[in-house]
Amino acid sequence: MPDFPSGPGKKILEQIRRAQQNQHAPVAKDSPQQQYLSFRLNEEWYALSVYQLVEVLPLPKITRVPSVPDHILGVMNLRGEVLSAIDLKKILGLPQETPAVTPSIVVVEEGGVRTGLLVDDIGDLVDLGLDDLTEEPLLTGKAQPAFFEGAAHWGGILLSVINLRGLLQAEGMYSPQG
Amino acid sequence: MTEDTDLFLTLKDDYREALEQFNDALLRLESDPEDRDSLDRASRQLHNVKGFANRMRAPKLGQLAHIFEDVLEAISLGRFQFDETLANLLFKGIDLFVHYLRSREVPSDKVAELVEEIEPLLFTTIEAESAATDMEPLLPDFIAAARDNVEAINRGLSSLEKDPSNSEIIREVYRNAHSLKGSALTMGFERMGKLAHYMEDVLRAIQKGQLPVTPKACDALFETNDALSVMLDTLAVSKRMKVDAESSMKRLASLLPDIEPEEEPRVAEPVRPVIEPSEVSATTVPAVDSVRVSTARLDELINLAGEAAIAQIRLASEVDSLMRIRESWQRLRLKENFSQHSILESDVGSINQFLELGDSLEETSRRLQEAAENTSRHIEALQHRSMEIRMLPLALVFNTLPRAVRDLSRQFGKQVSFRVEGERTTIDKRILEQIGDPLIHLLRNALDHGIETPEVRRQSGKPETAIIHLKASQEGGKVLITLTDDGQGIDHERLKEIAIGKGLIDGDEVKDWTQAQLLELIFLPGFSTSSLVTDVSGRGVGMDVVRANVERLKGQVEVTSELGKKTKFVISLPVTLATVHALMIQCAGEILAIPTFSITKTLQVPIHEIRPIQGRQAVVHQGEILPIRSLVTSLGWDEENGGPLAEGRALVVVTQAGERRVGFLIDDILGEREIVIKDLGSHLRKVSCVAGATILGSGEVALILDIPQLLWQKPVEVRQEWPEQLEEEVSPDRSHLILVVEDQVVTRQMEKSILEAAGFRVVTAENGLDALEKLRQQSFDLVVTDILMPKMDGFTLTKEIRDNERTKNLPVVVVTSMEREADKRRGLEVGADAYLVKSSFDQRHLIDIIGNLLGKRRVKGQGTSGTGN
Repeated sequence: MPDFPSGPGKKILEQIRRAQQNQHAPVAKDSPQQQYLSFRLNEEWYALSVYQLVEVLPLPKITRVPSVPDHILGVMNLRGEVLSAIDLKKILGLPQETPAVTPSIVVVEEGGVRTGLLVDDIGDLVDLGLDDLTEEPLLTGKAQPAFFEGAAHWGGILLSVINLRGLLQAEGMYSPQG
Repeated sequence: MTEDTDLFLTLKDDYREALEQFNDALLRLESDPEDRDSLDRASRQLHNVKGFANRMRAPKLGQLAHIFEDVLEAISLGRFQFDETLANLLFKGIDLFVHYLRSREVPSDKVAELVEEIEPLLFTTIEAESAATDMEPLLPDFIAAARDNVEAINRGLSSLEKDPSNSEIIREVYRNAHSLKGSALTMGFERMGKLAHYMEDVLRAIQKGQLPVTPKACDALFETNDALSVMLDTLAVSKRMKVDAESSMKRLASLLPDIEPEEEPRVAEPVRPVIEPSEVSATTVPAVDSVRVSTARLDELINLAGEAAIAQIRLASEVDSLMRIRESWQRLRLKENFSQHSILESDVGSINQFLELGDSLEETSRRLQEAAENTSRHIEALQHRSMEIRMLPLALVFNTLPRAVRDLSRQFGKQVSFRVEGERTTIDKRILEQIGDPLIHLLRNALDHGIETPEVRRQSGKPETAIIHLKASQEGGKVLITLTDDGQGIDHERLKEIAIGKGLIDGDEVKDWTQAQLLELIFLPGFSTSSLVTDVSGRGVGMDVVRANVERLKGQVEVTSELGKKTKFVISLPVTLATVHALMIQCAGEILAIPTFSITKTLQVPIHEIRPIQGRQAVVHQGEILPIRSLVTSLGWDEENGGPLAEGRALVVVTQAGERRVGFLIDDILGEREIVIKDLGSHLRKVSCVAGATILGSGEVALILDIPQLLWQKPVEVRQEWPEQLEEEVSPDRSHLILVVEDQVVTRQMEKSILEAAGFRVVTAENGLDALEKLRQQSFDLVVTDILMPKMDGFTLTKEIRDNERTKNLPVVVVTSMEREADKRRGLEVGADAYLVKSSFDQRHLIDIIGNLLGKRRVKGQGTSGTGN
């Protein structure tokens, strides 16, 4: 039975927990468990390994940068370091629905470089084992299979687990294609 | 990894091209092993390939390329032949490089195999030497120290050639050879030590007067020093030293017949009595008053100082808010005065507590403010000092140049005296590291094309020995490097023909171009041609690369030339790359920084004056067409500017890069400040038109614009945007010659351009004395002078002019910052015809006054009014 530490997305967690009690939640057995941060884009839920997580910030002022791909929102300041901020929805080809009430920036580190990812809401930390990734991730819009580790069914909610490396190394990520 | 990927993608095309070229050169070599051009080309491309491998951190490939370089060098030295076996090995290597290009994987086994195949070939002629095992940790220190020695020897030898009897120099060179020998032997590099020892012997003989400083001796010493330098290079790459000491040793030994080439170094022997004991101790026990610090650590320190400065700005603004709270508190307290009668007995205690808290708030905030001010001063000093550490004298680059000039002048059969001045000027280390290549290129060009052969010079009545003058100086926030040669100059008409011939420009388009504009043609990509550039000067780079390199360092390069007399290049560079002085502006809701070195002025232009001229939006400013662009649109953002200012005027910041000027429409100007430059993060390293970012006091990121890139990004379009004289609007009156006397460079240039734009001819002088000298040589129609100047001020100058019979009627206009009534009176007393104060300086006013004084009713062409300066 995975445990849920308290955090900003407490409400969501309660929801997950309740859903979980009603259904037969997958129970991790042999495979080692890893912690993931769950977050929301529109109405879908995603997760990221905490190993690559640096911190979560309320949406700061983002400075636009000319002639960069559409999904790069611009640059932001993280304690004196200039990071690029990326709109995950645009990368995954999700529609821009109603503006988020509590938009956040998830700062991740991959290959020694920090990047900020814009998400609609933060859920909580969940423990998953590799065995749990039994589901197909949500391949919406421009999403490519390389962007995901897989997906887990979590009490009625599908958590698509992002493969950060696959995502950030995708062709055309930082410069216009062609 | 992503960082590497980014880099890989950026570099791979260049890498592929280098490989193709290398391949091609090898093919040519195969058909003609004597083809020196192809051999040179192969080496050059191989060098690029090595650089790529090293940047991609593929050490195995770097090593392979390095060994290939050794092979090619051996061929070029005639040590072995380019034959089929060798060609096969090299082609095999190319396959491995291509494999890496395709897959980004290094086939390590195959590389190792190939290395094993090639190395025996090399080491039959060159021996390898390794450091004694226990000494390996000292290797980096040894290399650094030894390089210093080699460098010092090189410098010393160059001076010695010019001044053979200078015993001071000989001692200095000797000292370095000696200390190199000592450290090499300590490290276990016997053959290197031996070579240095031979050098020492020769130098001692020179010192004792047994051997004259002949060109032959110098050549041998130079060659030996080069061999030492090569050994250090290989050592730095492979931890093993490839030693090719024989030929150098033989040459040195031939100078001293009593020394056997195979003689063992006398390591254990006490140092010869020639050296004074005090000197020995000076070389063997160096005083520890300096430390070597890696540049990465230094940069980290500077970054931290920059961070501290930014944090300080935020702290200061918080302290400000606190002070405002304190002031409100004080006002509140005074106003309420807490009149006792309105307070209930029971409240008195808590009110007293409240008042006490208020007092301590006051006291604390006052102390905090003091502390913050103190910290701010310290941080400023810290930032300044840490920046200074990065500053190194240009001598580090300049000192390597005499040798290059010497070799090149021999190669081209030219006779040159190379003068260096201002080498103590300091500049940012990063700039220093990258300025060498452009300088060498300019020198090559000068020696190859600029300077005539001694015969030609004699025939044209010039001294046979040409002069190349390299000079550095600091002016304001800039370092100017000037390279002048007294060669044949650049024929701008010929440039025009070539450019038209190559289809780079349109004949009609350039028919009205000034000489300065035509000279700019040499910087066009693709301009350098075989008809203009020989194999040496043409080493892959043209002047466009020189310009690009300089602009990458946030500098500018300009050329002027007098046909038959001289060519002059002026490179202006920022003193540091860590900070930049910038104008902060607002545009489409974003705050942007524009480095002030790219800005010529800011203007308010009536909207209706911005109109299509020659197919694009422009205004006529000071008689020139100034193209106007929207900054928002230029940055590729698709919204509108904030709209015109009040009274239908638009705010324009006029920027310049090279000959090109463009005014950008902006929304607001927020002020000038010194900003810390940061990069945009590893992902966005190469964003077009952005030179970096800075963090504002509010914590927001502001982009720093790359003006040269913004102006040069569309060459075809921009070429037509070069300002041209408008004949129908300006009537240049070539009959009037004005002398502008002003000690401040900026003001001088500004006044000069204003007057020239109005059609006058202008000569400038830096002070009163200089002006009198020019007045003696030439006759002028009017003088514009400043008052406060070194050597002779404007009052004295005016008086001198009035007292001289020849110039007593010459109109004098005083333009000065001294606006006291008494000064004005004095100015008019000594005989000035008009007195203008700089703070209320209005160009049209000046032109009108000059027009009146010259009996000219009106000077046309003032379409816009300036607010700048």
